[in-house]
Amino acid sequence: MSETHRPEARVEPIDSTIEPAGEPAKNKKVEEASLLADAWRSLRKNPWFIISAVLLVLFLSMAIFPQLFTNNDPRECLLGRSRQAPSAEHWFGTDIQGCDYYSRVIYGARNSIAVGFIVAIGTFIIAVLLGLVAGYFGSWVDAVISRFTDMVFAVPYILGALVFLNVLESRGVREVAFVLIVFMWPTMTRLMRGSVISVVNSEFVLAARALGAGPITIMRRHILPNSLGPVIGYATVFTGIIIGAEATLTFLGVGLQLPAISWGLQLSDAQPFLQTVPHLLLFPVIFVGLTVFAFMTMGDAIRDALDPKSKK
Amino acid sequence: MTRYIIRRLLQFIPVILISTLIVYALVFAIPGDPIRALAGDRPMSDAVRETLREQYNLDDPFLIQYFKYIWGIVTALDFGSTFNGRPVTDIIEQRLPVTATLALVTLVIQTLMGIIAGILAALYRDRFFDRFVQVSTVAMVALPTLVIGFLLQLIFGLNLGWFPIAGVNNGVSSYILPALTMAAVSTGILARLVRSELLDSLKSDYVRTATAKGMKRSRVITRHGLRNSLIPAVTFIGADLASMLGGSIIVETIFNLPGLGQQVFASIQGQEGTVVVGIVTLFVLFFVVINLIVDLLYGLLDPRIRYE
Amino acid sequence: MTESQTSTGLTPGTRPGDAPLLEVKDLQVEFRTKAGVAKAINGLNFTLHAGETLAILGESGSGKSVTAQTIMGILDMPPGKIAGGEIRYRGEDLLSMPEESRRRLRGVKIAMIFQDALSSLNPVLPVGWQIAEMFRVHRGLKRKEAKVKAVEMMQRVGIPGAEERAGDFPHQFSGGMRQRIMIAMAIALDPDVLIADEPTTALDVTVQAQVMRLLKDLQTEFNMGLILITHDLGVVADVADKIAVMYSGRVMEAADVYEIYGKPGHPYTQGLLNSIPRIDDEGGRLRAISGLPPSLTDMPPGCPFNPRCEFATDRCRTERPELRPVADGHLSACHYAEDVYAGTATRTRRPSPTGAGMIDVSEEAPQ
Repeated sequence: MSETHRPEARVEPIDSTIEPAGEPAKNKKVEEASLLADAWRSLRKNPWFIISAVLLVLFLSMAIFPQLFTNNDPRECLLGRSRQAPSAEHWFGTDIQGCDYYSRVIYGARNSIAVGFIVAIGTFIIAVLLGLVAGYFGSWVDAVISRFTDMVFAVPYILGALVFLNVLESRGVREVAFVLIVFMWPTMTRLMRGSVISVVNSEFVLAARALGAGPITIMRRHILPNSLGPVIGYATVFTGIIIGAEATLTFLGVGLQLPAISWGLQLSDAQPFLQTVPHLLLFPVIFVGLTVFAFMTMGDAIRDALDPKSKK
Repeated sequence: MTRYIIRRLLQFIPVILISTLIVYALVFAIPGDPIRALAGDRPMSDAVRETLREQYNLDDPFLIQYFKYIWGIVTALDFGSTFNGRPVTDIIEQRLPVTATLALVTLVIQTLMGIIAGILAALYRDRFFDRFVQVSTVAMVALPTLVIGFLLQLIFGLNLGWFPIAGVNNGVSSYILPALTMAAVSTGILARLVRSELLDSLKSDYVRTATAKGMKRSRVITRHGLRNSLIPAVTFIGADLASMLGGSIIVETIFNLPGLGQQVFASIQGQEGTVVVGIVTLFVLFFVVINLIVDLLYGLLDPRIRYE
Repeated sequence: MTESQTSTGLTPGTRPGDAPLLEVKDLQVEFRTKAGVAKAINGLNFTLHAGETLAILGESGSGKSVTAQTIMGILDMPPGKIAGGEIRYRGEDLLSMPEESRRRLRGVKIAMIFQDALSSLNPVLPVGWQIAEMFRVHRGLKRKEAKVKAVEMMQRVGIPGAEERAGDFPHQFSGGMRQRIMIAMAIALDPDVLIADEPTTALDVTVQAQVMRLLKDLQTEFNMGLILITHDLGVVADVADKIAVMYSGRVMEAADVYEIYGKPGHPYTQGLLNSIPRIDDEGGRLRAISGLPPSLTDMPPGCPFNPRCEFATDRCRTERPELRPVADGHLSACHYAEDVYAGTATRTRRPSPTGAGMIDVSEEAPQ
């Protein structure tokens, strides 16, 4: 039956990535555009992408313009209305201090997502630079970078972050993000390195080299555009992982501190009251869960769409 | 084969040394005076302070401290002791059963659920159960451990009241929710892995050959299809089991289980470096040994792997 | 599918009153693909007798492997679908048989050898075990007895040191030895019909001859009916008794080996023969058949070969030719079979110099 697939095989382009080194950038634009257009077409048909995109737009606008979602001031707390159940006035009820819980959960989005983005971008820069250098130059450069990556990778991030953050007197978004970057860059770096190596050995890089292109040109023109796909997808997934990690660290008491408003703090504060006021736990759990879910699902969808091999 | 094992065991030495060194450095090189942390607000005489510093080699250069520590482990299985004088091995002995039980229940849950769900999804491809597995594994993989733990507490602990929410006073049932929490991500990944591997395998030439040999469908699947598709699953389970420390810190804290993870967390907060390093060293050893076992198992399952 | 080819009494070598070993009648197999329904087999007919070797010859995409898989009953359904026809084994229709009875024939009475022995043998099971499985499952032998039998089979197909090597895994054997193991597995239970799907394509040329020799010897020894599926005209010449030439899921021509090679009765067969190099043909150019086989989802009307045929007329473009006798025991599905057979057919077109299409002879300037 494999024979029946043969005619299709002939239709496939031979290799759309082949391009001479000195060619004007015009051609490349067209190819990239078509690659992106392909990716976009397959994304639009993916229900998971649609779901996660809607959720992300919702949470991002929550982080940037929380006023759109609530008129209540999250810092206006009256002990007299402590621990109220959800009602028409206070949709998510009130917390221990008597603050409107709905507005607090809404305002909590900003810190979580900020940490997620800062760490994802920082890690992405480290991963792309180290991965590119290690994968392109190989030999001892690769060996040094790889072993170093392995060593950091071996330390569970939560252990490292706990130890580091525990000794800091004051911890804000900056400190938490920094520590997470320090312990979480290896995975993406490994991914980038692998991706670069698979491109470095391809024939069009060999061709570019044979045409006399220098290492910088080759890296920028050929290797980078062709190896970034999986890393971009993973960076999106990673943002979700980080949001979960921030919430976890804050829950464990080594993340953000009061008076910051964050989902992790809300979880941490609510846990002792699990049995008596369960909604205090429920709402931030749902918000953290959906945000992380949206990022991870979006990243998966992007990765699939950018991967020419996973044609559905 | 024996030579391979010996070589691997020899390779362990640098791995263990380096990884414990990193943790040791992490724990002991951080600013803050552990003695002061121990003393808290109480006044402490200089003499007592000196004795304590001596006892814990705190005045030695860092590397010397580290080698003294390792030497103690190698020669006398001495993992050091807390500032109160309690041996770390004592703490490990007390806390290990909880974490071991947690790990075991987790392993059983994720292996059974992941593999069975993956097999059924592959066999009933595109039917309802397959769709269900596909959708639910997305959620399992994408939700953070923390969220899953709380959701399980709220639903099965509080609303339905099936399992205890916290503590270890109810035998194995105390471990169900923590283990489910810890197993969630891996179960999702495992189910997807087994599904796609089995689908690949069922499409393979050797399964076609088995059918052409006149074997029953059930035999084709179990003897020829499954065997090959479970090899990556074994690797995954091993890698997952080996890296349970991170998960146990979170899960034991959420569910208040007095295990090693919770102890590590408490000791970090109390700046009890010896306890942290001791427990982490134990996990590193476990990690390395499990990896070796997985490698050997892999070779047993797949004859194409050769140990050179 | 109305234009089925009837083979009643026309199939070479049919002896009346004696049900042939294997008889394929008007078989039609389709695949549902994204591009539409691909008709992989469109009314296939042939007959196979005990001790006979039938070579099914065709390019890739002609449906020869699908034919083999359909006979074995190992076609992936879906996407495959048997749209019609019969496959009779000793007079019994396999396609209407319950799956369980069919399974009992599979590997026991009708066995198959695949092209790529490395991927077709299970990589994680010892080869001896894989052969012994036949005896254990179908004959109910105990593990040890089956093992002994397996080693015997390995010796029979010429694997040196069979006893020691029975515990080895497929990747530890050379390509030729692996194919011998496939053969041992297929003939283990002394089948009546052996289907060999490109058995030597993946092998080195020197090994090819040895494996073909082995197949031929085993066929004679066990008096099997052998269906040899290949695209290689060279392979079939010494081994086959009859040849059926397939194109686009149909038999274009069927005859004795000598007839096919000596006096082809179909332009396609002629083209194939012209495209093999001959040692006695000094200095001549090899003539490839121009163009490509038609897409299975979009068959041309009339004769499927007409876009590439040098003799095609308007009739060929509208009316589908039936498989019919041109000489004793020689069938051809061409409107001008007699002329082609006699070598008197009129050329209407010739391949364009680029090899991309055909140029009508009439349109050319008179030379």
